[in-house]
Parts: sequence; structure tokens; C-alpha cells
Amino acid sequence: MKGSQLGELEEIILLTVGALYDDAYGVAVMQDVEQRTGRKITISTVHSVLKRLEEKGYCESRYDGATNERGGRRKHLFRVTTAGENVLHTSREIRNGLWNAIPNMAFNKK
Amino acid sequence: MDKQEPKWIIRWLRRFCDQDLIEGIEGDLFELFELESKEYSTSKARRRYIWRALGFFRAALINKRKSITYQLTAMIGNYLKISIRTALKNRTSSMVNLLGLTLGLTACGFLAQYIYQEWSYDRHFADYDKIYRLTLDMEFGDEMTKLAISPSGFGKAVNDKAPQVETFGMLRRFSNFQFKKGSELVKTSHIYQTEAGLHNILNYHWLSGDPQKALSEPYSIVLTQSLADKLLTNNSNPVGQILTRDNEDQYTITGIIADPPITSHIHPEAFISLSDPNVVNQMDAWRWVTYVKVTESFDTNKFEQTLAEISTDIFGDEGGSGRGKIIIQPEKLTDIHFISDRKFEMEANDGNKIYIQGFSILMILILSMSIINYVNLTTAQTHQRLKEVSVRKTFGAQKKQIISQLFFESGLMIGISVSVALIIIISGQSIFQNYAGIELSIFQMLNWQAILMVVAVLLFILLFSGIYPSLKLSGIKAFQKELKTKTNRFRSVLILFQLSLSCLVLIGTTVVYQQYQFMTSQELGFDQNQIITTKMDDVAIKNYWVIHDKLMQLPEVKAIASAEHSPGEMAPINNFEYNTNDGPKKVVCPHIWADQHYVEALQLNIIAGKDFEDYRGNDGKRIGVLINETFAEESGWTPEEAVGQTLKSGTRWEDKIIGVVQDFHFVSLHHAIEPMVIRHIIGGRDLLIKTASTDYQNLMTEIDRIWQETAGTEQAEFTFLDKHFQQQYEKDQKRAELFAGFSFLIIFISLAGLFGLTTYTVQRRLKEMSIRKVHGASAIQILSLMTKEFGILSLLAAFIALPTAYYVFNSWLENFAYAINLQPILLTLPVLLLMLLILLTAAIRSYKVVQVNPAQILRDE
Repeated sequence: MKGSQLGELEEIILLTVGALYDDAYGVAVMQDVEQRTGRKITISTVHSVLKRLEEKGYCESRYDGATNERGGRRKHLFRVTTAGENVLHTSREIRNGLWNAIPNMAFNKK
Repeated sequence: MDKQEPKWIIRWLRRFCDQDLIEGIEGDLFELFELESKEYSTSKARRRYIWRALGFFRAALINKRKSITYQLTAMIGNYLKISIRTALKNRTSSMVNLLGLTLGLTACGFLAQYIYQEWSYDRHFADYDKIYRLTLDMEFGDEMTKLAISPSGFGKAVNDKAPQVETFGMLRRFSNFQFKKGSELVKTSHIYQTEAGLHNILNYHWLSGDPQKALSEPYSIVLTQSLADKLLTNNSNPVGQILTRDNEDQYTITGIIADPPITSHIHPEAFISLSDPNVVNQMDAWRWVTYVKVTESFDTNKFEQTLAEISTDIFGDEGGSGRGKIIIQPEKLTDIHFISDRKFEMEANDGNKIYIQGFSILMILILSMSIINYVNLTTAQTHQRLKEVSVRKTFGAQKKQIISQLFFESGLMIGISVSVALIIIISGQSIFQNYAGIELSIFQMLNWQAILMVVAVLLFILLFSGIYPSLKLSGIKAFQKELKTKTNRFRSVLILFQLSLSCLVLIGTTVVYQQYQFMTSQELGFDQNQIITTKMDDVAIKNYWVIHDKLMQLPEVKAIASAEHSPGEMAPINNFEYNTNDGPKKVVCPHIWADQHYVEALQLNIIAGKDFEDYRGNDGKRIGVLINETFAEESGWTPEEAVGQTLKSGTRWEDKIIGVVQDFHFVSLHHAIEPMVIRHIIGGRDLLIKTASTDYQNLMTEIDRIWQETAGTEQAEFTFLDKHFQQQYEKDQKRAELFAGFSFLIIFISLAGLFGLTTYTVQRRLKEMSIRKVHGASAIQILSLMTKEFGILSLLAAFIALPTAYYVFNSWLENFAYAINLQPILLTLPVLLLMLLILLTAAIRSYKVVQVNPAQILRDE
């Protein structure tokens, strides 16, 4: 099925959402990604990726926690769904499998 | 914290963005803004905020189905669909509606051009609102003579004495000036002489030369571009070139001005400087037209007071040499074209405020007719739209949305009409311009004010046509079945208004047309047909009798006369004195100079006494004068008594009256017949040839041959006297035709409206009429039922229109020296005709009901 594939940025952001667990909203995700990967991504990119992920069913969202900090607006919080978890697992397994398939010789050539 | 995020971008974003996501986005943007405004300056933080917000306009977040913009466009699409369907459902009335509006707008577009051109006269001069022309009203006995001209020193005197006057200017026209171009002579008729300060009053657009200094030296000339093109062989560097006049005077070109717009009361071809700068101090040359420019702190009342004082100062209390008090009359520069009809105008002012007002009223009428049509047809539709609006309301449409839908429909209609009207105006532009004598191009008229006005008018139409139906329909309840309103009465009032106006306009057109016919068919009192005229130059005048005798030998020539002033021209004014039993009396009246063949050539009737004797000497021997009937009447003589009386003028001249001629219209029928004196002269400038045949081609070659043999120098330009007279009425005729055309348009629009309305009535009452038919109603009965409403309304309209028309047109006719009588038939015939048309329109449409098979209509019930 087209779109069930995870893109690289999608994967990173979905993982970040998982890592942040209950506090995964736009700015937090953006900052976390920046911290961990050193990659600068814009807030609108984060939002559009999150939206795509939600459309694919890998995460779900809710509004919660209005604070003064945000001018009275609630946070749009995301959480990884079971489907999201599965796709992350699959992705990890594919990678692990590939890692395992690499002969030792390949990386220690020097 | 006073640091504010830029809110506008968010407001904008909200329109496009998925409504479920926007809160999170706003929150994130705000949080980042707060963070960054600690780190950076506020303005940088704001910049970054905007930049970020812009990022959200990417396609992924603009959820089409959930954003307001999408809903709006979808809605408009729906409105469009509904509008088109409604229009197609009522094809006839929609067409009528569109046609009425389009025709109305087109007519207004054309009319506006005409009005604009007339209005714009002399407004291209800077400070036009501060420039006045000073004219003189001069009292002669108990008569007031209104002069356009004043003495040459007048302007300077006023300038020196009146503190309100900033500067002055003066002009004198030369109507026959010839320049040499090689061996050729170039004729000009609009050369103006002026003092050096012309530019301070009338600022023309100078292409070269120094406007301030160009006219300060004697024998300087400033040419318009077109005259320069005509006169100069080498046009590349005109300033400094020398021009030679036919009398060998030499003028140095000191400047070139662009051709002035035609919308001015003067149409100069060139300006020449004063030959003697001293004339501005002299008071004896009465040939000048004086202009002044007033200062900022100008007050009309005070100015008039000052002018009265100055008048006494300059001319004295009694004026002297037989004339009485002189009153200085300031005329606004922009008014000259419209109101000024004084003696010795430099050029004829053919503007007419009454026509401008008439056309403006016509324009407003056409517009209001179109709007009324639209409102009528739309309100008539309301019944059909009831169901649609109810359904919309049931599905949650708000009042606002219903209103916006109906306004959208109006806007659509108007938009279509405007586009079609624009296409017609642009494609018909050249024809109309030719016809109505408009010489400004449409682009010259389109400044921003004009565009603003057009937009304002369109918005006004939109508001007016949209407001009634939308308020009525938006207010209904979702399940209302009938409109409990006074729609019908309201519509009736509008129709009544429309019909009354149509009546009025039709009567008006009839009256205007009759008056025009009357004026052109009036007996002038002399025979203007088959008379060829020309102006003679000095050579021709010297050889006058040779030319006369040679021409008389041609078999086609019946009579030849020479005169100073031929019919159709303004005659100069003189004052005459004569003795009565109560002592000497004075009269101020026009007088012309003519020779002994004048009466014969024009076929004037001598009712008492005799014609001039055949005296060919040019020594000014007094052989008597002729007067007209009115002169005799005003003096209290019968024509027979008048013969033998003595007329005096000034101290030196006196002569006997030898004959009285029947009254004739010397100038035109615009002017009432005044007392007139015909004095004898040999060698007047005007030559009149009365011919026996109408085979002019042959005759003209003969005349040309004789002319070249005897008069030598150049070919004379011949014109026909009747053509010359006809020209006086040409503008009148154009106006009358335009008036008639637009009036018929008004009537057409209102009839079209009735046609559309009847269409609706037919639809609504089809069932009712079918039932009537089933029960045996005849065609006549049904038709009378259908047309009853309009019949009553048109009767009412006639009752309103007739007295109004009588009042309005009676006072209009008072403007004319010779007017028709307002006969009852003139008023009632058009009204009857219109009523017939109205009933016919309604009946034609209603005939559909008669034709239809009732079984087909009623079978669904």
C-alpha cells in the first residue's frame, strides 16, 4: 500500500513522539529532533509530517493542557498508535536484519 | 508583556488552514515567538514569526475541504449555478432584465461623455476657478446693451484699482489674417492679439519659447503646433523664424504652443503681441476682451462693489457721448461657454446649460428606469424563490448568507450588463463621437475621478437593486408558504412612477421636436434659397462694378448685391434719434449697410415707400435709409407715416427714411426681430448672388472665371446662404435627435419591463386562467383580466403626467423668441399612443394564456 512506507524524517519524528511520550507536540518535537540529530527543521515541516503520520494511522492526536505560555491555546498532543509501534518495529527489524547480513569484512577493511 | 506577535498573518492563515489543526499551529507559533523574543529583538522575532507562519501555507496543511476559503469558493460556485438556473428558467424576463440594464448603462456611458465634454469647457486652464472675464453692460436710454468687449486700457485700470485682482489679461481677435508661405497665401481666422502677461491668465502648454517673455516685444508671434506645421517649410527650429503677413508686416516667432483643447471658448491659431505697448493705458479702442485673475482671499460681493466704484471712476456716472451708466459684469471663465451671448463675442458660445441639465436629468432617468425594472422583475420573482430560500434555511443557511447570495446574483447581472455595455460603448465610440460632435477621446475623459464615479454609480445600482429582494427573502421563516408583504403595492408604485415618467418623456420629445420643426420651417421673411455668398477682398471691392456687370451677363444670375453683413451674421448696434410730437426719441438697434440690389437679391418686401435709387457713386451721398416694420411700430408710426421721417445718429449723420421693409429674421429664429435700419453703401464686403437655376456646377465655373479675370489674386470661397443658415440649427438638430433617441430608449426600457412583469404574471396565473377557461371565459375576458392592472396604472400615470408636462414645457417654451402653442392634442396624443403600447405589450404576452390548452395545465391537479 502506497504511503504505508515510512520515510526517514517520518521515522525520526515518530520515534521522537514515542520518546516524548505524553508531551509530544509541535515545538517539543522540533526541539528534541534538533537536540538529538543536530538537524534544524522548521515547525511547519514538523506539523506536516505529524499530519501525514496521523493520516497513515501511525499516531493519534488530542488537544489538551491550555497554558498561559501559549497565549491560552491548547497543545496539539500526539501519541504513537499500535500501528505506529508495529511499523517502527518492522523498520527496526529490517535494519537489524540488514545489519546482521553485513559481513564483518565489509566495515573493517582498512 | 508588550511584545506582540503579528496577528494579521494568523488571521489570514486561519482562512486557509484546516480548522482542526489551527489551534495547535497558533500555539506553537506563539511559544516559539515567546522564546525568540527573549533571545532576539522584537522585530526580528516578529520577522521570524511571519516567516514561520508563511511555511504553514504549504499544501499539506491547507485542507481543502475544511478551510473557510474552500467553503466560500464552493458556495460561490453554487450561487453561480443557481443564478444561471434561475435565469434560464425565466429566459424571457431575464433577457428583458439584462437588456434593459445594458441599454440603460450604454446610454448613460454615451450621455456621460457628452455631458463631460460640455462641462469641461475651459477647465484645463490652471486656476480656472479664479479667472473672470469682465464684460460691460451699457445703458443707452432705457435699453441695456450687453457687451463682451471693453476698452484696451480697462484691464490695467481694474488691475491697478482693485485689490482683489492679482493680474489681468486681454485679447482681441483678428478673423482675417493671411500669412505668406512662399508665393502662397495661408488664411487664418483665429489670430488673437494679447499683452505680454497672457501666460499668467491662460496657461497654454508651451512646446518651445519662454512663456513669460515671448509676447513682450512688438511683432512677436506665438503659433500653435498645427499652424506652425501649416506655415513653416522648415519646422525643426521654429523659434526665431520670421513670418510675413499679406500687408508685409513681419512677425518673429517667439514660441510654439501645443494645440489647445477644443473645449474652450476661444480657439486660437496664434497669438501676436501688442504692436504698441501703450494701448493698455488708453481708453478709446473698444475691441478688447478683458480677463482678470482674482486673489485667494476673494469675496464676490466685495468684488462687485469694488467694480461698481471702478466703473464710476473710469467711465464716469453718465458715461458721456450719449450713453448712460456702465456696469461691469464679471463672468466666470467656466461659464462663458454656457451663458455668454453678448454683443461682439470673440467666438460664438454655443453651450447651453439647459441642454446639459436636460441630458443630466435624462441620464438619471435612464438609470433609475433600469434600476426600477430590475427591482420589479426581481421582486416579481420572489414567489418562485420562496421554496429555494426555505430549503436553504432548513439546512441552516443564515440570514447573512441569503443576503449575500441575492447580492451575488445582482452583482452577476450587473457585471454581465456592464461588460456588454462596455463592449458596445467601445465599439460604437467613433460613430457616436462623429454624430454628437464629441471631440475628446474616451481616454482623455478617463481620469481617476471619472473612474471613481463610475464605480460609485455601479455600487449604487448594486445596492439599490439587491437590497429589496434580499431583505424580503432573507427575513422569511423556513416554512413560510406565502410572502405576507406589500410587494404588490410597492411594485405598483414603481410601475406608476415608471409609466408617468415615460408619458412625460414622450410628451417632452414631441414638444421639443415640434418646436424644432417650427423653428426650421419658419418663414425668415426673405428668400434664403439660391443665394451664393462670398467675402470680397480689397481688390474685388475696388473692381466691384466690373464684377457686378460681368456676372449680371450670365443668364443664371438674377441679382447681385453687396453689403456689409449678410443675413445670419450679428449686425452691429447703433443708436438713432428721431423727432416725435413729444420731442426727440432715441433707439438702439442693429443696422446694416447694403447697396441698391440688396432688397431685390433677398426678395424683401417693401411695404411702404421705395427701394434705394440706383446710385453707383462711392462718395457717401445720403440717398435715404430703409427701416423695418418693427422700427416703425416701435416709433409709433404706420409704415406710410414713417416714410419721410428723419433719423439722426451722433452729431454728424442724418438721413431720411425712404422705405419700410417687411420684417425678416436677420440673424436666426433664436433671436426676436428687433428694429433695424438698412443704410446705403457701395462696396460692402459681402457679395450676394441670387441665381435663377440650381445648376451650380456650370455657374460656379463661370463665376470663378470672371473672378480670376477681374479680381485677380485668388479664388474666392463661395458658400450658400441657406446652408449657412442651416448650420445655425445643426447643433439644435443634433440635440433634438439625441434627446428623442434617449427618450425612446427610456420608453423602450419601461415597456420591456412591463413585458417581463407580464411574463411572471402569466406564469403565476396560468392555473387560475385555465380554470376560468374551463368554466367558459372568453379570450377577451381573459385578456382584459390580465391587462386590467396595467390599464389602470397607465390611466393614473396619464393623470399625473399631463399637468406636469403642461407646466414644465410651457415654461421651457418661454425660452424661445418664437415658440409653438401647447395644444391639447400635442399633450394627449403621445399619452394615448403610450397607453395603447402598454396595453398591447401586456396583451401580447398574455395571449399565451388564451392559447394554452387548459387540460394540459390542470391535469396534474
